Order: sequence, then C-alpha cells, then structure tokens
Amino acid sequence: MEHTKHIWRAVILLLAFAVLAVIGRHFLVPETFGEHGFYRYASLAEFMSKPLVHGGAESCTPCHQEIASAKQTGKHASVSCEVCHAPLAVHASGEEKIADMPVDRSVRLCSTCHLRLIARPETMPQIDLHEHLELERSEPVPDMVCGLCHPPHAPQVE
Amino acid sequence: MHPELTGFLFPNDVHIMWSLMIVLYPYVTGLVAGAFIVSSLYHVFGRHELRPVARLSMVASLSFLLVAPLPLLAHLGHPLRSLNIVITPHFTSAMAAFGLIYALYLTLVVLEVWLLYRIEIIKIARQSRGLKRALFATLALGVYDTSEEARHVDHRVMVLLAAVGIPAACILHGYVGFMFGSVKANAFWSTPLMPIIFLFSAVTSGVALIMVLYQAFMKLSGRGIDGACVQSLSRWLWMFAILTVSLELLEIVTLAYERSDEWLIVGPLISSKLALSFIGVQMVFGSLIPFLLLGIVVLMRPFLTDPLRNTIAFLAALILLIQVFAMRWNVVIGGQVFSKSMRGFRASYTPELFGREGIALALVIVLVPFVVMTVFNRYLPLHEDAGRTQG
Amino acid sequence: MNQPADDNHLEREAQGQLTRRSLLRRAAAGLSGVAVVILTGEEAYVWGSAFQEAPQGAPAPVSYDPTKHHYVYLVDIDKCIGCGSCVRACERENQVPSGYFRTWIERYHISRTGNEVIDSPNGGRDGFEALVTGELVTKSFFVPKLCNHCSLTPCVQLCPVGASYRTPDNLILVDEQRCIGCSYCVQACPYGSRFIHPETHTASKCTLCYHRITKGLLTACIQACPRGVRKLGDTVKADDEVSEIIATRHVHVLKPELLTDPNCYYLGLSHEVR
Repeated sequence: MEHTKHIWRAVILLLAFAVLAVIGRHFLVPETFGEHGFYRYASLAEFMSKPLVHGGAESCTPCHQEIASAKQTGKHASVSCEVCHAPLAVHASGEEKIADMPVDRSVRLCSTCHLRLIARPETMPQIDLHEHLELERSEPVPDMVCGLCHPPHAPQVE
Repeated sequence: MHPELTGFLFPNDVHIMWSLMIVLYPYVTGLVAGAFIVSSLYHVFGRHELRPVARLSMVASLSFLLVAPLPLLAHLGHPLRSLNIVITPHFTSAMAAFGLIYALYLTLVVLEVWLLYRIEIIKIARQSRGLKRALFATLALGVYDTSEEARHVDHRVMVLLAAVGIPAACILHGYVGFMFGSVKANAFWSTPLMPIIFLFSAVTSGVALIMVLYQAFMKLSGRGIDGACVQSLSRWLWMFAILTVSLELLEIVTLAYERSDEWLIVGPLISSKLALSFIGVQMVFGSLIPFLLLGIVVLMRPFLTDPLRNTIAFLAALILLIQVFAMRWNVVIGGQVFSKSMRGFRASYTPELFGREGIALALVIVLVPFVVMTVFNRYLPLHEDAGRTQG
Repeated sequence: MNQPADDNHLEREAQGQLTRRSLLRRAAAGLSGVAVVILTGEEAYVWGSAFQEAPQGAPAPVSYDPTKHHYVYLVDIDKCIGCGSCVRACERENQVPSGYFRTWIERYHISRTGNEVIDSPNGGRDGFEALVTGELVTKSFFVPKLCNHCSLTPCVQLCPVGASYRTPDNLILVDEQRCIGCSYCVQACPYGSRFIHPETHTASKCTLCYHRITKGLLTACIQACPRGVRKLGDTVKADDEVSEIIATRHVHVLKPELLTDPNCYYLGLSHEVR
C-alpha cells in the first residue's frame, strides 16, 4: 500500500524489539528452571544444605552416657535434651565442645509444661504452683525450687 | 508488641502486607483505562461532541501509564528482581499477566499518541535545528509524509488501535480486579464481581479525570469550555458512577443476605473498621452527592447556565475521583485489616509519611503525570484547535 | 536413610559428599553468631550478619531422591499440652525472626453457650499462662499449626515468578533467590502460614525442615515435642504409621471447604478451629 512507510517502520521497530526481548529472556532464565516443574530445581539443594542446629537426644548420648541412661527410665524419657537445654550447635561442633550447655533451673521453664491449665489434657502431670508448694496465694513463688525435689533427668513422681 | 489487636488473629496476620502503594496502583491503572475509554468513545464510537477531549484523554492515559509501575516497584521486597515477572512469568497467577499486558498496552498507547501527533511532529522537525530537530526527526521515524492519503492511513490505523485498545484497557485494569477477586482465602476480596467492579470504577475515575483536566486545562490556557463536551462527559460519568456504585453495593448486599461465613467478619469490618472510609467517604460523600449533582446536570440541563453546569460537573468529578480512591483503599486495606482466623481485627493502617511506601512518594507519583502532560503540551498541544484532521 | 559408617567419612568428605559429621561441623561453624545469641539469653535471632551462610549450591546428599518420597504430617490435638517446645525449636533451627512464626500454637476455651476465647500469646512460643475467661469452660484444647503443604495450594498458583513451588516429595517451598517479595502468596494462604521475612524481604514459611528430613532426621518441631503430638509420614514407605492413621481413623484438615487439599492432618479437631 502507498503512504504506509511510516507504519511499516514502526511495526519493524516493534518486532525487532520483541525479538530481542524474547532472545534476551532466554539467556536470563536460570539453569535448572523447569526441570521438575515451574521452579528452579537447584533451590531444593539449597534447602538441603542449610545447617543443622539440633542434633536430637541421640547426639547427646555419646558424651553423656550416664545422664542418658538415667533419663531413659524416668518420666522425662520422651523429652528431648535440647528442649530444656539448647540446640546441639550451641554446645558442640563435631566431637568437640565449643561452649557450655546452658542449664535453666527456673520455675518458668518447668512451668511451660507443668503449670496447671484447663486446656492441658488430664493425663499430663500439672500443678498449681502455690498449691504444690503449699504457699499462701499472696506469697511469691521462690525460683529454682522444682529441682530440689525432682531431679530433672529422672523426676521422681510419688 | 501489638497493642491494637481485637479478637483473635493468626500470629502471622498482624502485619499489613499491601500498603498505600498497592492502593495507588489500581487507582493509576484505572485512570489509564478510563481515560483511554473516553478517547475511544470519540475514535471508535463516533461521539463527536467529545472531540475536544480526544487528544487530551489519550495523552493523559499515556502519562499515567508511564508512572503505573512505580508504586509496584516501591512496594516489592526485591524491586531489582521485578524482571523475573517477564523472565519466568507463572501464568497461573494473575499478577504474572502484568509484564506482558503492560508492555503490549504501553506499545498500543504510544502508537496511538504517535499517530495522533505525527503531523505536528513532522512540522516541528522541519522547523527546528540541532538537537530538537534530531529528536523530532527520530520521533517521525524519518518519514515526512504528510499527504492526505498518509493521514487517511493514520486514521484507519488509529481507529483499529483504539478498538483493540478497549479490550486491552479492560484487561490491563480488569486483571487487577481478578487478582483480588480470585483470592479465595480472603473473605472480603473473593467474588466474581471484583474485576467488573474495578473496571466500572476505573472508567468512572477516568471520565472524572478528563472532566477535571479538561476544564482546568481550558481555564488555565484561557480558552472556552465546550458545553456539549462537558454535558456528554457528565452523562457518561453519571451512568458509569451509577453502575459502579450498584455493583459495589450488590457485593455487600449479597454477602449480608447469604449470611455465610464471610459475613461474620465482613459485617463487623464495614460497620466498625471501615465505617468512616466506606460508609462515610465512599458511599455517602463519594457516591450519593455526585449522584445528585450529576443528576441535576443531566436531568435539569435547561435550568442551568453554562458556567453553573460546568462547575457542578467539575465538583462531582472531583468528588468521584476521591470516591474511587476510597474504594481502592477500602478493598486493599480493608481486606487486610481482618485476620484469616475470621475472628479478629488489626488496628487500622496509617501509611507512613516518608519512606518507600509513604504518602510523600504517593503524591509524587500522582503529580508526575501532570508534569509530563505540561511538558508534552509545550511541544505538542493537547487542545483540540491545533489538530485539524483526525484530532 | 541410614547414615554411612563413620570410618570412611573422611574419604567421602573428600569426594564432596556430606556426612553427618561434616554437616555438624558446618552447622556449628556457620552458627557461631547464633550460638552467641542463644548463650546470652537473647531471644531475637538475627539473620545474616553474624551468620555465615551455608555454601550455596552445595550438592544434595547423593542418597536422597525427591521423587522417591511423599511426605504428610499429622497432629494429634488431644495430646498437645501447649508447652511451646516446638515453636522454640523451630525458631532456633530455622532462625525465624522474632514476631514471625513458621509454626505456632493456638489455645481454645469454649463454654457451653458456645462462647469462644482463643489466644496465641507470641504464637505460644513461651508456653501459656492461666487464663480466666469469665464463663465456665467446658471444652478447651491446644491446636498446633504450621504450613499445610497443600496439594492444591493457592500460594503456588498465585506466585507470579515461580518462586513458590511444589517439590516432587510433596512439600511447598519458596525459592529465596527468585522471590520478588510481592506478598501475593501471603495473601493467598488461607491459613496464615506465610510471612515476609523482615531481613531477606522474601516469602518465608515452614519448610518441614527440608535440610533435616532429607537426611533421615526428624523436623525440629517433631523432635522437640515431648508428647508425640506431631508426626511425619512418608506415604511411599510400606508400613508408614501416619499413612495408616490417615487411612483408617477419623482425621480432619483445616478449612476443607476451600479445597486446598492440605497434607497436614489433624486428629481430634473440633469445629471451632478455623
């Protein structure tokens, strides 16, 4: 058609840009993208290689045999060491100790599990602190008393 | 840590993720779509009384389109990665449509404006020297054909683009509505009506914008305001405003009537958290008053003098611009003020003043298109008298 | 997934394979900053600055094939005591920033008249205190929640860049390098499982401790729970306990009406839980 030179120039310009964009895009798509779905498959490996922080109770046993055996027979057998102490990574690296394991003897820690709450199932041993310690309601609860009667690794339950 | 929570919220639900910037984005694209529709009313549907605003609305559409990505970039956690949306667009997500739609629509509007002003561009290229000549010669793509046949070709292409542009504008703004409407997790957003509400509301805001721009621009440049144009704009504005508000109310009324799970939280949301912004600003101030004002303009035309009619229409348009902003605010912010627990509310959101998602930046984004139009007008006039052919 | 015998771990390490020891070494070396934070008793975990990141693109343990596993999760509500050990363990294992939660516990107090009082103080991280509700409570329980790793998840569907995805082993993960931080997935999740990490500005959520389960370890939350509330199942395994429970007992999922097909099942869920 006559007198359409400007239209064609515009169209060619746009097409050129579109082609460049498509080609450029191809180079920008990361490798491993789309291998198993619409995502970058290498991301899985990145998640897998994140550092471990907790070791689990079995990671404590090699160095702390006696405590582990004592715990096994007590009521806290199912409580992981790291719950009351701290994750393995704080304390040891490989087979070397890097820092002392924190020891928390506070009433607050024991209360997180053993404070009497309506929502807690009855099968869970739970107490009202003042009742249990035979204190008046107005008396403050002294700290770090639980361990005096209940060795934490194998709490005796009467 | 969070003193202003009422009821029960999921612990992660205490943060509002989509801020003022995400309120602004649909507002801006709404203006884009609406202004384009006004221009199309002339170019495609032959509403000749709208000729005075045909160029203005096209350039306004482009100017707002240019700033549309800014609120999004300001909001993203990683704006530099925003290209991922075009590198690996996940098309099951409505948001992924943005890259392609924006690019296509921008191309379309740029072409439209170019064709509108091609003759003027050539004229300026011929009459200038140096850098200005180089610039305008490039804009003309090196073709200096101003013959009658060429103008005819321009006109035909423009009509085609304008016709294609209408669904394109609808998709550009409609996809935002769909983005909200398709989130089944959100009791306030999830409705098939959402894209329609957004679209009608967008056209309302666009027509209102053109009404305000046209009158202001004519006043500031010392020219007369075309009465038939304003009357026509008022009619279109009234019609779209009525449809918009009807749809917005329909959504709420349906929720209330069905009394399903959603209403448990949406009811208290509207009556307590959004009482001022929804009932007050969006409905009473923003909808009822312009409805009455425009009703006067449309139905009582013989009783009004031109200046009075123009003023009433101008006021109504201004209020409707606020109404549409309030609607965006209520949808975006309102939908995040309650928790997915369906049992609790966060305190109302107050945007920061400065900062990446603050009021200051929002104002700047909204003002930039006006600056663009002013600069544009210096070289390529927006008013109708300059264009003697296809307008 | 058995750990190879330790006597040739050095040889395997030289070949670039990951042994438990080398992993722990890397973990400890990389976490000196976190360790300092824990020892000083500060509960805010700082991501990044004091924390040396694991080498990017480290090879996956050669023995693990994602297509050979299909994980599901089970929560037994009747056993939960709301101690918060799981929340704390998750926070420490994954450096979850303070105020955000990859897992949390909700407490429900329900009276005969149907009055509900629900709370989750700091996600239940530090346990719960006694609560007086004013009405006689007839039913109360704790509900641990986490990402449900849904099979028909809206979060993957709505992610615009393919950052949120479903793994061959049935987890939902977020590619931290691809995520643009648009928060659409956070809006899309009906369960409130996701958040935008305040420092990386990317979407973050429970990863089912992928770095642990792919080595045959348990997730941090499961390991920490003293009552066996949480269980991980692998439906590919012949005698998988969790699969058996899901197939034979009355289990529930959260928000079933949304048809997200969650892979986190609940025993003992009551209708008040959303």
